[in-house]
Amino acid sequence: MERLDDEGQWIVLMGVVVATGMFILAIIINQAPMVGQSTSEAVLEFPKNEIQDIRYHLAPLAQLDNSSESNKTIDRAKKDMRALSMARNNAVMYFETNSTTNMADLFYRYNRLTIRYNNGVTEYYEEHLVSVRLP
Amino acid sequence: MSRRMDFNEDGVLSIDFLAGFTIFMIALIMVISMLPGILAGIQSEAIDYDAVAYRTSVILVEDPGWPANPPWNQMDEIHKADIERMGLALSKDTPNILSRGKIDLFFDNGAAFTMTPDDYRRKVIFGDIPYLYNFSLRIEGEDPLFKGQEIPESSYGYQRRLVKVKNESFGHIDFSDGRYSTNTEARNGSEVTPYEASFFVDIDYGELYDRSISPAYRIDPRSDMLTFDMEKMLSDLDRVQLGDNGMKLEKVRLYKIQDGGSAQMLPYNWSDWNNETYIFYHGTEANYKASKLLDSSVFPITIKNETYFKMDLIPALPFSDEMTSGLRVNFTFSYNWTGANLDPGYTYLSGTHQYNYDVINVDQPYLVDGVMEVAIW
Amino acid sequence: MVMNDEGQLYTIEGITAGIIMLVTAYAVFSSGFVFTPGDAHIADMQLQQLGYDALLVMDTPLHAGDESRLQELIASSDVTPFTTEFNSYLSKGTGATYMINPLTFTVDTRTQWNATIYYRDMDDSDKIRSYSFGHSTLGDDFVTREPAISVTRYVYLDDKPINLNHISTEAYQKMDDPQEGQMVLFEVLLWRG
Repeated sequence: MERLDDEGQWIVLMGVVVATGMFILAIIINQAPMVGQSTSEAVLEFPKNEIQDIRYHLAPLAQLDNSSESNKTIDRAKKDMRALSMARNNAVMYFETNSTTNMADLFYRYNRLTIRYNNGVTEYYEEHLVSVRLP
Repeated sequence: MSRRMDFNEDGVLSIDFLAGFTIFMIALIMVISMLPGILAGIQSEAIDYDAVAYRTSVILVEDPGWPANPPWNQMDEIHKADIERMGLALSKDTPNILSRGKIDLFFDNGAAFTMTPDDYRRKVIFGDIPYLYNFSLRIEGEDPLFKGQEIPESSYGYQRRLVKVKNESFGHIDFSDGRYSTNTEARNGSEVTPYEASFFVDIDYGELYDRSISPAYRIDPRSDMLTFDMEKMLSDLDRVQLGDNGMKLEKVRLYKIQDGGSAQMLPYNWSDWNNETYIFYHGTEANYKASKLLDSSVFPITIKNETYFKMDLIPALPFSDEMTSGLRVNFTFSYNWTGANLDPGYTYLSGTHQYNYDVINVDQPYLVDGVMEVAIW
Repeated sequence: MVMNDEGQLYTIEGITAGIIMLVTAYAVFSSGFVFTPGDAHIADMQLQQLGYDALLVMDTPLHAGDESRLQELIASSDVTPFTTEFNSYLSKGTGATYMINPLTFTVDTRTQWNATIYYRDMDDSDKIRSYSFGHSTLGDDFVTREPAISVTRYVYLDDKPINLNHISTEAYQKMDDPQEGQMVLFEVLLWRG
């Protein structure tokens, strides 16, 4: 009985060898999608294009003067973009323009534009001066 | 008997060992499951290539490169090492809008010097591995531009980008279109012939360099080529008075317009006409490229019906970093009148053509579609 | 007795080996590793970038101060030209890689898409409404399609689009025509066909 015990062990050993092989192979194979996934998820999650889009559309708004008509335009855009970004991009988006700054030089007046964006993963804040050509 | 006992004990030890090893394996599995990033260093190359291709495309399409101001494409060959990053975008605020000057240098499309494969690896791909690459750009209506090696059948990183390319401004001065009739003045015949008079093309840097206009549509004398042409000089003039060879272009000179409006001639060597600041072409409209003017020996140029001039002002234009100044191109024509001086008198060209944001004066910069493919392997 | 024992021991060892392998396999396959093909996510990333690029170039005017092509098409509710032009943007290449049609530089005809315009309801609440703005050949199939990537772009409209009731009567009734212009969100779902 003890002798037979000894002979049978190669089966268990083979099992272990196969299991080890399978395990190591699985690890190696799995690294590929993992790296691809993390690179791609990082790219997909980071709202680079959304922020570029917002900046593109806000720059001309920030160049407007302080008239009641431009304030209406800015107000409307503010409400539209806030509601749309919340509903479709799951992001809180807020911006403010200030055309009453007294910053100016020989050629330009400078309006302040503040952008806040937060989609839960990425938080973006920007404050910059938009040049308006003096007549 | 003792031998059998030995075997028996060996067997027991093996099972013992296996049990221990299995527990160890299970533990190892659990540990590795819990730390998925533990072996992240092992990478699949095909995946890595895609990430590199994506990164490279972002640098090319969305980044203006470094140095950005003045743009890196204005470096000469000696200072090539100062170029740190070759982004093709016009500015950081205008992603996907590419600059012609940067494209021409990057794709070696008639540029003053070329980049080596090593330059492409160090200044745009980045990374320790000497990647192979293929960059290509096709601007709508033009031949595609390529840089790099032939793309293999498979396993390369890839990214396709859609872009716009800024076409630079062009001023057409056509004296037959009626707008320049007011530039035709009359003289009474008491002057000495040949009579000399000037026609100016004025470039007001302060007006052009307007930061409230997006760089995509700005005529920027510091980074854009300014081009204008001139034709049909004779159309509003009295042909009988001038005769066949009565009008000649005596000289072309560049002046700096000062703050107050006074102009001062630039101290260039006026015998060299194909240099890094300006190129002057003359001929007929169909063949002007064949007759790039090289030296001043052709002056004075007799003006015929079909005579055509074109001038390229190459960035950065002289003094273009001084916003309060400007550049004047002064065309001095001479007139040799014959025949009777009838009313309203001898006619000649005068006045100024403003190179500015007025669409009547200058064809404004515009954007054309393009597509770029980046392959890395 | 002895013969019986022999058989049972082989079985026990076999079962042990099997259990070891099964447990390993189970642990490996269920340990949270993702077994999707490696390039599936990469294609998503490439597709997303391409989609954003296509909307960006369509929303960039030719000359300063002009209306962009996208604004023009939305303002006139021209779905058919949009479909043609958006398809051509998605499919074109430079010629460096394999082309399906070298004459038109077509490199990709697989990508499917479906476009929707989102706008704020005219009652000045934050209610968002939408109407469809075209799709690719197989782009209306939401049942058997692959997982999609969403790309968006804000578009500024001076006026309420004309001919809107041909596309959506609801949008025609609920969309505001503010004096001061409005922002709408143009969303495109993209997937590999």
